[in-house]
Amino acid sequence: MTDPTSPGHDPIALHRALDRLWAGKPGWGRLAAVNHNVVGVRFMLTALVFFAIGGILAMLIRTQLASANSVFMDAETYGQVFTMHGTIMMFLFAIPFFEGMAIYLLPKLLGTRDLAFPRLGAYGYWCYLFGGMILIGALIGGVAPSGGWFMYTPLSSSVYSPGINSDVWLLGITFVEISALSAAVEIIVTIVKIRAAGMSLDRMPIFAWYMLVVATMMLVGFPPLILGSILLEVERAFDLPFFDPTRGGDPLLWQHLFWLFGHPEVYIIFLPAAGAISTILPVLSGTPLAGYRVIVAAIVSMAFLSFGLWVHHMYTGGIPHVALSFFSAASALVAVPTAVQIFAWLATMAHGRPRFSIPMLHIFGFFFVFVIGGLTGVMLAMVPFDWQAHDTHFVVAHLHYVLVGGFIFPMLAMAYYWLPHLTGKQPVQHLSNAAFWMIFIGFNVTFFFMHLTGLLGMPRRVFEYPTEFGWETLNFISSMGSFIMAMGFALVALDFILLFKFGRPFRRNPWKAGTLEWAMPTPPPSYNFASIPRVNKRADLLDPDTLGPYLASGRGYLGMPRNDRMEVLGVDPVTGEPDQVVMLPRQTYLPLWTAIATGAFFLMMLFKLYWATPLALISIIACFWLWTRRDPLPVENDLVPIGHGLSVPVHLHASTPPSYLAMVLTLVADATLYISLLFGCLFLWVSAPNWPPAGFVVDVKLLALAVGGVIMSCVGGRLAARPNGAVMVGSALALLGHLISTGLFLAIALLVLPAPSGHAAIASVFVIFIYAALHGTIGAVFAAHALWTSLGNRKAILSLDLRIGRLWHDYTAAAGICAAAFYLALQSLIGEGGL
Amino acid sequence: MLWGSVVLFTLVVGLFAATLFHPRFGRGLSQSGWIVWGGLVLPLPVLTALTFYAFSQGEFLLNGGSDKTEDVLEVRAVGSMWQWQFSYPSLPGSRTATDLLHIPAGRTIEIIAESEDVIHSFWVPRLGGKIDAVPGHANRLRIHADQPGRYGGVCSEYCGTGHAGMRFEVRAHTADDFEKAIIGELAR
Amino acid sequence: MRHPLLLAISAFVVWSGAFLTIYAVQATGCSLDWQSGNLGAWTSPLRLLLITMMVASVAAVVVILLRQLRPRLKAPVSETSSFINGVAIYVSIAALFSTAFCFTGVVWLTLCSA
Repeated sequence: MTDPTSPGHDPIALHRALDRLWAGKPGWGRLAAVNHNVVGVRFMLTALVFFAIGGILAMLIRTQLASANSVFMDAETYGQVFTMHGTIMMFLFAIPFFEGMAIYLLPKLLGTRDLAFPRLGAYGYWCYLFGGMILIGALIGGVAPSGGWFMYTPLSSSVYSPGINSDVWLLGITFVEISALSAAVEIIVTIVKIRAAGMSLDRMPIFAWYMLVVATMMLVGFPPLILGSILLEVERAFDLPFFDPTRGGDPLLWQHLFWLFGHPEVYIIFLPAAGAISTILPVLSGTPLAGYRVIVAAIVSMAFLSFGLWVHHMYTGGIPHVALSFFSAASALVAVPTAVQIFAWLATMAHGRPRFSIPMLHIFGFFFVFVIGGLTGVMLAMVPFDWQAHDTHFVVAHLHYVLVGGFIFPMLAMAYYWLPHLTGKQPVQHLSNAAFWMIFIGFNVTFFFMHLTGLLGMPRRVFEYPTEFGWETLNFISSMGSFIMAMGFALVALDFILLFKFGRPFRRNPWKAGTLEWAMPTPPPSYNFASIPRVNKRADLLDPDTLGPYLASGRGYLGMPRNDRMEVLGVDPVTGEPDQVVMLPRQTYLPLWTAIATGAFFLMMLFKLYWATPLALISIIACFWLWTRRDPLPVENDLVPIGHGLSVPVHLHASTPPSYLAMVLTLVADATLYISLLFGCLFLWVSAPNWPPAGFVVDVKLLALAVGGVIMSCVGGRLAARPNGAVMVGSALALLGHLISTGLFLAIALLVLPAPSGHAAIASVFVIFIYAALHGTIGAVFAAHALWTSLGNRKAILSLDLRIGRLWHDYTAAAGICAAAFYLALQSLIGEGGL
Repeated sequence: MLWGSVVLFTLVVGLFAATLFHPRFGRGLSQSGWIVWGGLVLPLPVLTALTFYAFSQGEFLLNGGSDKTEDVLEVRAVGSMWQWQFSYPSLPGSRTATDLLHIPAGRTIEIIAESEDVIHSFWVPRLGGKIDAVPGHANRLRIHADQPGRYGGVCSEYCGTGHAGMRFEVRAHTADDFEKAIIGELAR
Repeated sequence: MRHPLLLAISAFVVWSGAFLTIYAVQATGCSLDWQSGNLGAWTSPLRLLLITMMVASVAAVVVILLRQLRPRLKAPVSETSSFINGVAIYVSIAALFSTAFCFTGVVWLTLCSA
């Protein structure tokens, strides 16, 4: 073993040694890439392709609406086009694009070499690509979803959309959302755990705070959508009537689940863009960001408030005024943290010396457009105004002002700011100005006039309109504006191509920034930093010009590869002091195979080959099981030196390794889904017509036995995970408990309950028990794995695996108890409601 | 609301331009001063006033935009793909009309919106307010036409390929004409 | 991670819990017809219940904020923990205002649709 503590290596030799380990393979080996540089760029490029497709669809929409009674498209084609425009821009462009940007940038800003789970990132990318391809395939085949991007039932139910169209949306989007959830887990764990030494919470670059908040929002924002999609798909496929009012379901349940995701989603898209502005603007103003602490508090508050607005999409749904008032008030309040950020940026500019440059131009575009969008947003948050403007082109104008202002302009600013980093070249900038002004003018012409069209009474989503309503001139102006905007985007694309071809190389740090991503060669090497820095002040006030050469010569931490392992530092979440060395996995095809297996499952569901889905599920589980096979890592619990006289344990023996945190976060997302399910089913009891159902009874003794099973597995898991605990006995107990409870929950759901297609109440109990059984099955796999390993070699089982297993067993026990309690509660409520 | 928005918009964009083009602009105010004045003092009173005004306005509209709430005429509006059926549960002998709603001017009308298939939404832009017709629910909306006349109505929730053509007409009559209209005896 | 960061957001967690519960109780109350009883001149059992819940959640947030404002005795405080405490206080103040602001409607707005 080479001593990594000796300072001052030859930078070239160090580069070769590290690059041999971290760089991807050529040819087909590219499919095995897991490096965040590669995955991040792939995410962004793929998202740009989808942006182009979505943009072309927008042009089709504007062509159709340019004149009254247009014969360009028929109603069905138009339905597919506007549905896919919204779906692509939201799910296939906006979210994946900022995910890619975060995946690319975060490790560099945090002063480390990669994300916590490189394979998970690659898996997420393949899921995103394949899911997106399903949707685009359907669009080309003319069977794209056509019910609007929020897919309201019953229009999207099998009665009114009998074709495959809605299934494409539900399954394709759920497939894509796997990438959002995996990115959320990966981003949180990375920010919390994988940073430069000494980077305490108060020294994190502001962008990391933004992404920490965004990823947490994704973790609890996406599960309701995934749940809604599952329930609707289950209704379409197996006739479980969650949304069918004739059998105790309620279309409003879909709206609640969708918007519980859908509104936080807007802030999920806005916050990364705001994070980019908070990073770029101070650099361009030559001064530190004003109000760092206040901004952190503001985005945390904004994250919470954004979960209390969802019903403002449902003001016209007949919900009582007092309930609307909660959401209206929260909608108004959420403007305050936004105002705080905007004035913090203005304060930064006022106290600095702002330089006018292309990124600054786009930030100006952001201010101009986003402020208008925010103000119309406050108008729409007011119930009486919304009763008039809801579902008109006023709303279309508002949402484009918010999303283009709050996302596209900041993203263009960041593209012009960071492209030199990505390519190592500076732009030529002949087209940049013209492109900005075309987009800016084109956008405002298109959408400003759309406010008026809406106030004149034009509803959304009409493919034709009569001439006598007086909407034609405004629509024609909007269409002309949109074509100017499209040309502007084409110019930006050309500008970027010119940059790649003819850009001028530069030395280092062209913007004179103080963040760590400039303390590396550009374009960045696969390993980012030849050695990991120690920061002793806020990580946007550093000096990359001197730090870069220092790190390149290996004088930071981990400045020498050893034993062919890819190492990064794990730190204490609060203080940023190193507490472990995290050894990352090498390049592998496993993420690709797992994503292919996952895709096979979704395709089987799509083409109604339900009998084959267990095969796909088994292969997915088998693939994930292969992920757990480790390179022969040091099993002995020794400290390893990391340089500068420090020694820390390997992550497998650390107290909070990344994988443990990841399991906690996964369970948070899982619990959000479960709570949404339980609340959703209770909502049906409150709101849906045709309740109560005809009586149905489950023997309480069976339920008690199932609860006994989950408690047994919980106890077993805890026995096994104790220090020097009874691994074999505990694991066996856990396995037995899971088998009992799973068997009973399955038996009750499939044999004891009446047909779940009869009433939503039965369907609710059915799905909740299946949920409990599914968790029991996975718990059984955990317990069996632990038992199997400990039977082979008692020493080989890691306490980490047992602790992760214990988390799962505990959660499964709680879920099982809640399932039984839900049944009992529902029975008593039905009795009461029937009085 | 419109003028308030124009003022706020001009303020923010003006400040942006001022800080960009006047290097010394705004130095006099400390950074926290900027944040407190612009981020809290400016929006909070505006938002509070607006929200509470909207609450009271909402209560007013729930009563049909008029204080006369004792004399309400109920109209059942049933949406289906892609037409509206209007009937008067409280007026025996009245006819059910398709895509044509007769109302008496000057009286508060309570629309009871229902649906036979997917979600539709009842909206007469010039009479204000809209209400979703959700299958399985009967949602209520009060509207009020001051003057006799014809008002165009649309379906404002996307409901399939016929959505764009799902229009209807509201005719507000004097009390005498209304009596004739609902039994189909009013000459067009 | 658990302690400082989770404590910092605890006031807003209370807000979220209150939001869910008050909304759920309002809907349940309408479904079970709790709004029609009459307690005195101006209020119904449901309204009284909702007002009580609002006051309780405001009180809970106030308690959290007061705990955070209490000066730390263990000197010297590190820069990082004073930073987190500062953020926590801002967040709690925001949560306090939000709790008071979001639920005031329960005092007089129409409780249930007809």
